[in-house]
Amino acid sequence: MSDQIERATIRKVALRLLPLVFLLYLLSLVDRVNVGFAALTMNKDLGLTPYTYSLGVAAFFFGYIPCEIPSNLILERIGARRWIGRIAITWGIAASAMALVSGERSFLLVRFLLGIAEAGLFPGMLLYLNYWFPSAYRARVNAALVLAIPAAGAFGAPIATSLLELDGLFGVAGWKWMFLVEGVPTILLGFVVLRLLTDRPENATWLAPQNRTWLETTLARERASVEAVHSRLSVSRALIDPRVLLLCCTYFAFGTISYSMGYFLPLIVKTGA
Amino acid sequence: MSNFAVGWVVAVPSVVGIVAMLTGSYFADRIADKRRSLSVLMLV
Repeated sequence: MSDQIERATIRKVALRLLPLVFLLYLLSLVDRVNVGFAALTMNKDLGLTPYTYSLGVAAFFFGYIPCEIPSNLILERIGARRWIGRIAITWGIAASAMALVSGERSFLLVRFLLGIAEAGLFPGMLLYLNYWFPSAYRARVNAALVLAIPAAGAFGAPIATSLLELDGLFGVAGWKWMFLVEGVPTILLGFVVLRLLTDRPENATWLAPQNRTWLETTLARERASVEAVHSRLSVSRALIDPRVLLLCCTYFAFGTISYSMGYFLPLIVKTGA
Repeated sequence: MSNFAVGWVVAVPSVVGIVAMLTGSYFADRIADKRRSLSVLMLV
């Protein structure tokens, strides 16, 4: 009986939350790296040198990195629904605004603003999934989320270059069409998040009482057993924890390779052909 | 190479990545040793 409740609960939670969370992360990655495809024509139109383009790529992270931790702390305080909805709407606006850039300065500025707007989405969603899934399911659930990374490459790349083919439609450059078509759905999705995302299991009116009770009890038991072994860490102590630092190194290596591919592979393939 | 073709070529590593991530996470939960799973995948 307990097994049946567990399976039914996890299934219902996964079906309700994962598609939305996955789609959000997918669109964030598409909006983040589509500049690599836009560069195939945009750099020439705007007169961007390779150095300026690289600076624009980095400008995103100048905004993104300092805002990551504060963003996650705000999410914890005001709730996932409102904060992730805000992130999606503002980053969608910034992503669409890439279509308005007209030179070096506006390119750097909009990339910087996009970084600020998007900051906190990925760690926020990991935290959010932690609220909902017991540890036995977490690797699969997190994998379902980060599956958006290769999915963004697999689907985002041909879509982006197809949109570049719209070049000249209504007198608008193809790369501008790409930013608009890929940015506007994110804004709409932000409003869907505000309507559909549920902050915590105790707010899940869409779960039957017995499923909700099982989930809350299981998560509370896991939390208690973790806290019995490990003391609670402050933010500053967590930042210097050797395990956190080791995982930072791992993610640094992963991020360097995957973002370099996202931002520069289209140009490498194009110029190497 | 056209821009359109560039999009398809760039998509290839990501398609391989999808298969690898699904397989890796399935075995990580199954053997219940996430540290070993991470180390092996990083080594690959």
